[in-house]
Amino acid sequence: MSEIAVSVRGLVKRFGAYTVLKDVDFEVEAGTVSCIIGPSGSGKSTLLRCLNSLEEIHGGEVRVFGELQGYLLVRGGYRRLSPDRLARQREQVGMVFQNFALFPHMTVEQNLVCAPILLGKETAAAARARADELLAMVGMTGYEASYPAQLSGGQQQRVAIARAMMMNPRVLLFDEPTSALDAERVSEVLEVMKTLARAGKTMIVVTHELGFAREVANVVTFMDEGVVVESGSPGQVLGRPERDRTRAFLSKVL
Amino acid sequence: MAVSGPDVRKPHRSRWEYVGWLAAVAVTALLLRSVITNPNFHWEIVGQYLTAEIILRGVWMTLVLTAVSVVFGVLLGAVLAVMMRSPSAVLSKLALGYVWFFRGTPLLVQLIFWFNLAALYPTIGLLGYEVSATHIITPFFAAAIGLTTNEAAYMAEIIRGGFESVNRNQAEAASSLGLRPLQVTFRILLPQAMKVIVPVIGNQTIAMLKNSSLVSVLGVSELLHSAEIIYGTNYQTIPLLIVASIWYLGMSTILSVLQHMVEGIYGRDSGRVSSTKWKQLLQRAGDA
Repeated sequence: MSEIAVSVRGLVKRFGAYTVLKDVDFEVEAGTVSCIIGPSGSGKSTLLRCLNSLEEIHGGEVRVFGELQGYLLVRGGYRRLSPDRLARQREQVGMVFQNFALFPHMTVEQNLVCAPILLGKETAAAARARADELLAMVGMTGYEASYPAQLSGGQQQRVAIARAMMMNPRVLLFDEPTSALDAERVSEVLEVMKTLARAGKTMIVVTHELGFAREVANVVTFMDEGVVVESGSPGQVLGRPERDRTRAFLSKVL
Repeated sequence: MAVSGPDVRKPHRSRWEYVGWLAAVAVTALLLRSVITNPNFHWEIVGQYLTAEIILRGVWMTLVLTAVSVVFGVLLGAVLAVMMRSPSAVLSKLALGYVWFFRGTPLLVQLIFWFNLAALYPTIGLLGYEVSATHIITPFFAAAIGLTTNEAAYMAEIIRGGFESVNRNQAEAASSLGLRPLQVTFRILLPQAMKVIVPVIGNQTIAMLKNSSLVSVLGVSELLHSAEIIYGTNYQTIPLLIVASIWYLGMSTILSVLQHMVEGIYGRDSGRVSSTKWKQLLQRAGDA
């Protein structure tokens, strides 16, 4: 059994009086692709955001390669990390958003090199060279000087994936990466994600693309109403689901 | 049935539109005639003092006060806006308290307070080194401080509003890359907030141009006070107030034109041309 990349134990997350995540356990092995599926409002996006400490949590633990995320254990209690320490942890975990979230005031190349250069990870020349490589990988060579507003949604999302890769994250999170795209743009983004998966990147993907999950995922997790209902291989969860709730969801979306 | 000849489409125009034009022109002409022909306006005195040296020096002082208070007001306002957004309760409460106080009391009262600071604190000092307040708080200094501290309170709210206008996912995307909080604020959010902030700063500058006339009560020889000095000796109050007004109107007209040009460059629509243009402007500002 390979190394555990992400481990979530007893995660509880509330928004006011509403509990979004109820005692969630979740685990991802290094070098595998995990897809999280489920109806909207099931808490799958919130779970993903907790992995990157974008949300404060109210119970349990999130660990990335063994390191406690977002909090410090002080005399048996959890204390929130300082904003700078949180930022340092997030360098390890890349995130791709539903709405791309490229920086509109920067060119494609500036979007890519901005974080590594500002954080002193590499020289400007080295960052640009690597940006060229990553843009080639996502099929966006020649768009270095374009601004996000000049690109289609699919192109923007491919740039966003390249931007996340620039920090060499150990885990890459995708929050419904194709949900905001026109139908004919979905496959170009999924192709890039398949390339990353084949390269052995640890990926966690919240998605409605069950075809992608079936083809690429090592593990599919079905969530509903803030709990993990069922988790297993794509063939098992998507093909022979054990739980009624999973079957009900699949019959609605297929 | 098709139209013969070229197909020319005319916009709808109400006949009342023409009546309105006639009425507007007639009223304006009558008003102008009465103002020009009324000898009590003393247009010859207006012409005589319009470019008098003391008036020109007053114009210059008005411009200096406006520039100083807007520039430092923006800088102090930016610091306050960042403080207001800070997760630290101490910083945000301090900034909110500042804005509460300086927006909640009249500018004129604040100016007089600064001018009379020497009466409240005869000496100003730190660590045993003290100087007489009357030496430091000159009328110009009191005016500049008063206008700047007041302007900063408004600028803080304007800049905070600019930050609020930036999509929330921008801050999340930036922090998910590991950028530190200050980098997120100054490299990612502020350049985008500028689109909203810059046009409003133009508005504030025009307002400040005229608000600076309040410091005439402190005896600072800006435009209005210069006019007051002259009519204090020759009692030609109305002609000299007209002289001052012509200058204010001229300066604010130029500022309005500049504001529209800047707004065009920082245009709100994120179309291809404008987004490139305002980025270039930022780059040029950064290179300078």
